Amino acid sequence: MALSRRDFLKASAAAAALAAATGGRLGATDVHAAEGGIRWGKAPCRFCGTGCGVLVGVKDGRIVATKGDPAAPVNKGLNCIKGYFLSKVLYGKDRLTKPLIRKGNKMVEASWDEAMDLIASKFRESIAKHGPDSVAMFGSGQWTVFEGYAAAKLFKAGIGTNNIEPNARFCMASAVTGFMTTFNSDEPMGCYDDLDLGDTYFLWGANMAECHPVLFSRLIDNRLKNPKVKIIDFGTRFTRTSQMADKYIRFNPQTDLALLNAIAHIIVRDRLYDENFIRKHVVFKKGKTNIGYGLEDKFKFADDPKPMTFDEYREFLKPYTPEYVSKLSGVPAKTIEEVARLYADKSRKVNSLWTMGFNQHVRGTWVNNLVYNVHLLTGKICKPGENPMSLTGQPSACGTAREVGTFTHRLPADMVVMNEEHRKKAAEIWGVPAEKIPAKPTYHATEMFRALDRGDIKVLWVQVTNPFQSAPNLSRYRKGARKGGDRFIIVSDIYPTRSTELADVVLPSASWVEKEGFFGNAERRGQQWFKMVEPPGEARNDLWQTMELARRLGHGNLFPYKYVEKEMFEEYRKFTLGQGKDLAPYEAYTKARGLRWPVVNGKETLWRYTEGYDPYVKAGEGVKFYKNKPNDYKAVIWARPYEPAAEAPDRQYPFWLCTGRVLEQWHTGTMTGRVPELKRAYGGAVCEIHPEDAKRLKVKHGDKVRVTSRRGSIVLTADLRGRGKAEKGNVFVAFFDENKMINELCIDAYCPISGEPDYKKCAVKLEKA
Amino acid sequence: MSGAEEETKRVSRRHFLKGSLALPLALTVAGGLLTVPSLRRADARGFYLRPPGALAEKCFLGACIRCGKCVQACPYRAIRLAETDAGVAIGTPFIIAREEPCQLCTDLPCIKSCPSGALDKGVTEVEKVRMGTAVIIDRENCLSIRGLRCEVCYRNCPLIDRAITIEPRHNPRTGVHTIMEPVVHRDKCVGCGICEKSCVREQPVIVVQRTPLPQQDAYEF
Amino acid sequence: MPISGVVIKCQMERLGELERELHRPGSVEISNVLGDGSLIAVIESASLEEEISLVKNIMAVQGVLDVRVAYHNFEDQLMAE
Repeated sequence: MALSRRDFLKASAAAAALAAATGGRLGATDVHAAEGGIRWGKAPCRFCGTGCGVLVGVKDGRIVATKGDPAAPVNKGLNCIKGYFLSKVLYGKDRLTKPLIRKGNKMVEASWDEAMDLIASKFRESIAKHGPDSVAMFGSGQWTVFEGYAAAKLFKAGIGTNNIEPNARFCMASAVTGFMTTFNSDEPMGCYDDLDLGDTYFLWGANMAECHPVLFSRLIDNRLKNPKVKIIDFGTRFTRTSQMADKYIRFNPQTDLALLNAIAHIIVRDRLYDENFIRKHVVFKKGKTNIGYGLEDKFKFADDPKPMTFDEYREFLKPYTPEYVSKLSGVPAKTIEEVARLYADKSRKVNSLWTMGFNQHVRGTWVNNLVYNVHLLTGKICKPGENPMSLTGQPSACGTAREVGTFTHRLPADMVVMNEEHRKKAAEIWGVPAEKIPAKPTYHATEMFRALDRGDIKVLWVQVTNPFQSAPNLSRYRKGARKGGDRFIIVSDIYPTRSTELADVVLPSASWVEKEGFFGNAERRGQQWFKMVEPPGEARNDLWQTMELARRLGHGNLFPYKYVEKEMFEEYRKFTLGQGKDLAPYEAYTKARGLRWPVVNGKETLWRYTEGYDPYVKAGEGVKFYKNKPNDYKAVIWARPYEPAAEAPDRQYPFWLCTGRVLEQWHTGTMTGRVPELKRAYGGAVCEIHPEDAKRLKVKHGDKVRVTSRRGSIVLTADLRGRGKAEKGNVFVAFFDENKMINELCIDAYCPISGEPDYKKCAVKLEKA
Repeated sequence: MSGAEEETKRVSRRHFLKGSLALPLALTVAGGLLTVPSLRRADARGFYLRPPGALAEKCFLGACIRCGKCVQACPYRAIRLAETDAGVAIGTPFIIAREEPCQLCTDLPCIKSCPSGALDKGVTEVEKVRMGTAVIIDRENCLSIRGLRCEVCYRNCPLIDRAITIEPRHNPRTGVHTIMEPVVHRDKCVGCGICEKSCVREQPVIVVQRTPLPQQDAYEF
Repeated sequence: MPISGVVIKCQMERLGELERELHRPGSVEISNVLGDGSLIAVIESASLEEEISLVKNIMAVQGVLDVRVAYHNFEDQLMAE
């Protein structure tokens, strides 16, 4: 071999080895990162509602590392792959660092003063001309408690409008109305410990393996330890959860209503219920039927609950025979019988877990009611290891949206604006006259975007979320936002998104540990963190942004705090004390790895309504649904019938379309999409099709298919080999991809009671593209 | 100047300036640094990921006429031709899984396009393809094996639940979680390299290697 | 004649010593010392077998934590086959 060639090879070898050792970046400076000098602080993960604890490593003003917090009870040092890359989500190249103001088709950099002056003038102008209900705030379950609280206080007690909504309306509003109608208090009785303590788990419309990864790993561990454990997955699509479940039961979309009634039918028919529990703790009710789908603008619905007897309920259940429901649902009658017996088996500790399959449902409130029915009939509720559990998808859907009450109709701690007593109490704590808080709810999320489209809402401020990618029937609302006239849209975010592109003003926000924060997870656990790094450029906290608008609108007196976060929290805490929703003093959260409310005398509550665990239940009471005063402290079993979906497949649009998440990407992908490793792991949305359907359409794996609904059309890559297997006649598309916005196809039909849209069911056709 | 930069300079002085190989060097330094290692580090015994249906390496080198037709046929541009610095016969097709793995087209257009038989026309189903076998080469750095919920390789495997499965086991470190270990099954893995591409670690911990030959023995299970 | 580039992970304390100890002009040449305790080395050998045994020997040296091959050239080997 020639000497020069040999030298070259040696040099290449050395260079390649060097590259491998330094991660491909010659001159890598992070070689020294491991050498120490890192300061660690605690925070909950920024993504889903699980609420894993992480330790954040900061050096030279930058997050250089994160790791699962071994002291965090939820995850004990583990994370999913999104949590693993937390250190990168804030450092995308295109972070917004300066306020931007629209000048024609261009966004021009501006100072904070210019931007806030402009926003304040638009608010003032609109309120003067069109009244306070012409301005609105759309936030999210990613708001910290402080941000949500400040926004709610400013809008309800300052501006004097109930025009405030979170994207949580798109996500778990049906869970809220489910809890409220059955128990008259939001949020679960159980906690994650039930994942370790139970032995029978029914999953309904929940792909836990991908959407609650760390909780799923906890559930599976329970089964590894205890051979008795059974996991039964009810779904309309075969997922990674189905793969690991003991049994996968596929059912036709929307028939979960009928299935749950059939399970109740069998339990009642064969007297498998817990008579004692029913007598002591349950009342029966029915509401209106044939309640509509909210497809027309300004749709209004008010239920009219009527009491009924157990016998009348028994009559109501009569038609839901296993045979009838089998035909409807596609689940064999024998399987329905087996499932009912498992639910009722006295030797089993039964849990139900659900997510968006239930909540994003035109009868979302009903289906939540129906799963509680089964637990109430069998008395399998409010016991360690035996509970129905609604899982959430955003880090503070519970802590902020639900508990602070950033919905149009809500006030903190389960209170509502329609109730005079509640308004009085809120006004007192907020230091405003009671008349200030309007008694009528205005628009829930979908109606809010309809109002913007019609022009009834003129000024809309969007914080910490991306509705112009996540709303259903997206095209209508995207067009509506740019119709001009008096419309003025402000979007606060950390990256350019499909919502910032429609904004008149874009405000650069601080995120996660760039500010002090507080999230509440799905098991009632409140978790606090301190600010650890400065936000980039001129980016600022959304909390500051809201208070700055308040100051400019003359409502600065609503926020008279020095240590804003702490004093605001202590004020908010007053709402919770004595209500069974008690939060601990702020101090306590700065030290603990989260505490589950009610926290009374420094002690957290694992199981609500349960003697020995919940301090509100007296000795000898056993179980007491003490929040349900209107129903004599009993829970409600609701007679809710099966009613069809808003739109079902027909000859023209023969497929069901379902949307959802994948493990690697979160929500609309604005954060996870900035992590190259996650992008490489799952880069773009694909369309899952059943192989037989594909064959009929002459579509092969990897081919392009056009998916079309009555509202939109999109070209996607067909996926016949993927992690999720579509059932025949169904397709599935993830909604994170900003370049393939599947929500344009989704129908904006919603549950009339909760106002939550059905992202899981609409009719589409497929063509080879 | 950081230490690493200085060290790079040292490399340059010691070796690079001796030769007159500015161009290949540039190739190696820019991008080649990542491609060359990922092509080769998978297997120190000289394994190349060839297109689907490729004959055994020695026969393949004999049969391949370096026409580049398979490169043209590949809709994903996964197949490329070896250049001078690739350390192998110039002009033969190969795949750098970490950059663009074989997507296992249902109709295998690369095989159909091969005029010489270097890619075996007898291979008509993707399940029959044997380009190599995925191996987790670095268990310590595998996030799934460390108990994190990653399993990206598994969920991206085109033969999910066949070529890669999840073997759950108790995680004694937390006491309440499961380690979901991806396990490659040699008899099903086609060696497409999609797992290698999708691995989230800076250096992939799962890579495609030469499929080990079955060994005969007199012992039966 | 195979040529490889390898990354040798060492115990920090022994890094300096190992740099001298492992350096054998003509077979193992240390080209870089990194701040994180790695040595970058080029290995030359007459055959694959010899190379593998060289790597094994390095692996066995006290203070060496790990040896990883980052680059391998064996063109001549293939031609010879």
